[in-house]
Amino acid sequence: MTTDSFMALWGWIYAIGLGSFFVVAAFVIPLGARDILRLLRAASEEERPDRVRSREGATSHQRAARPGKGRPGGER
Amino acid sequence: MAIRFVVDLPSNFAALDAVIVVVYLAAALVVGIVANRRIESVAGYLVGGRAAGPALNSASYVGTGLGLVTLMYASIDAFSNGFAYVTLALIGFAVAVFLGLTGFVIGPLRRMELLTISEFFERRFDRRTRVLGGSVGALAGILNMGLFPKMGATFVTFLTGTSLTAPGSETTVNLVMTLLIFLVITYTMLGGMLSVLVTDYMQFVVLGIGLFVGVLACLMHPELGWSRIVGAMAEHRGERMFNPVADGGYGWIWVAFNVVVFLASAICWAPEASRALTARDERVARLTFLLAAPGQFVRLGIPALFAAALFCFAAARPDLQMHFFPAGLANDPVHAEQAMPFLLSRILPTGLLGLVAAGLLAAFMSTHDSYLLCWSSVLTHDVIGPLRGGALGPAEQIRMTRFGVLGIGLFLLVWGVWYELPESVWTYMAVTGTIYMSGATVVLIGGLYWRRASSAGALAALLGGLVAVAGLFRDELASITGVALRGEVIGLGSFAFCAILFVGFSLAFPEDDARRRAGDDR
Repeated sequence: MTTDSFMALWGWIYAIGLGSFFVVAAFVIPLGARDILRLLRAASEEERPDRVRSREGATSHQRAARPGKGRPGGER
Repeated sequence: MAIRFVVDLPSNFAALDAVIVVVYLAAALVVGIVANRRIESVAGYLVGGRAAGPALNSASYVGTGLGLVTLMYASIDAFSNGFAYVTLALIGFAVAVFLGLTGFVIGPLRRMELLTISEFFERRFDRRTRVLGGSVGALAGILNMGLFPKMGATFVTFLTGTSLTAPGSETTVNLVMTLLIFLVITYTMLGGMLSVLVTDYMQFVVLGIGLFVGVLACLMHPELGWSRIVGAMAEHRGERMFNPVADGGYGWIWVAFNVVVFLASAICWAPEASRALTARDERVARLTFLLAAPGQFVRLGIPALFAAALFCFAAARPDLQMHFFPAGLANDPVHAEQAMPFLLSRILPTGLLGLVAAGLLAAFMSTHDSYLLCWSSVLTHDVIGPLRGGALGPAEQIRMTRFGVLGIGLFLLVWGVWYELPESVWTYMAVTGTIYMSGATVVLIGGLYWRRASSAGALAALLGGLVAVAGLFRDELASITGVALRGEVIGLGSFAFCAILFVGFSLAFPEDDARRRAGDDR
């Protein structure tokens, strides 16, 4: 391949590489925001049963004995 | 009003740009505080509850790889080697597509619901392998981060137009980097992987816009443009700037070594490979790699374009030519680390420069947060926990991981900001990374796909990776042996050496039948 051919090849590679990135970014940015909201909602829902449980009957002593901030057992 | 110190190379960086940067940094801190209120479990802290969707996960994956240090060393290398260096970007793109389409390694790892890669070593082999893998990985990973703050300081210096020759300016820059690292430590300690995912996403957005603007400014600048950029390189430096295997160029061994390195880092280098573990399921893990493939191209391709643009700029301006190419344009440059920040500071107007600066500082921080969290979690989950005879309790594990983040961050301050490292960036990073990746990649692939792989083979391969340290002492080795080995030869040799050890020791010391049956059941 001549230097001119390589120059043209890199031109095409950049056009495809940059083009595909900005197209993907156009989708990833709004969908990523939706994923964050879902992630935060999932974290809140995970949190809620604990709070309900603690309101329903756990004593302060029992709560203090739990590992972590209140998750029973050795969940990873 | 533009900020001016004693200036070597002027910049358009002004007060408005500084405000944009400060607002962004404050937003990152708020994310950490909000995330902290939602972290309940170890899985939540270390892998974001394994609940990240494909868009967020791929944005985070690209954000982790698109670090400031990556942009800096890519521009440094491309300033000397032109578009031939962008071969690496193509390799990164191809590797990500391959993993996304096949699910090679990442699929089985996600199905096993691991928190760290080293955890696999215990499930497949034994606890000693996990502890050794975790120890070597954390050592290599933390050392690998050693130059990040220094590269960040260099970037801030030249982007803002601050001169290292001004009295006290280096101390000022170091103080700025110290503040940035403390900011990263704070939000990572508070929010764990949840804040890492969200701040990586913020970085993806800000840097995506910033890079888009930067590329447009580069291609539409009256003195630049694609034809002028490639034309200047072809005229003054020749085919070597475009063909990686041309005479005097990188060569095939360099290409082969980097194919292996890109594959290895995607499947076992914790900050990157952990994106397979944070995904909601295996399908999302594979989609993450597919969506991130263009990002793998961009993270090296765009800084290389900026470096090539500065070459074009310098070819037309005698003052820049004197600064960067005192021996002539046909010879390799000096001050290559100034290329990208200087170009951006000249072609971007005030305001846009602040946006790009915020994006690049975000890149600096997002790489640090991923690295801090991943290596700290490896230390607590795979070294301290197993050594203490079993899994730590959730609260204790989160607490120790937070202490780990703090400890590694403080180490970085001493090692990276205040201590002058003698090695070149690329050599240093390649060597420290290969110490772990050469052994771990072999053990990971062999453990997943080779039935006769044994614990003895795994331990031998992980220890074998330590030969890569030789890459730091190439000059000394050359004077003793009389043979000058290139870095990529030592790197590729390390991978081959580990593979031989792994196969040889596995065959010589096979696993007992009961253990092998347990492996088959998986």
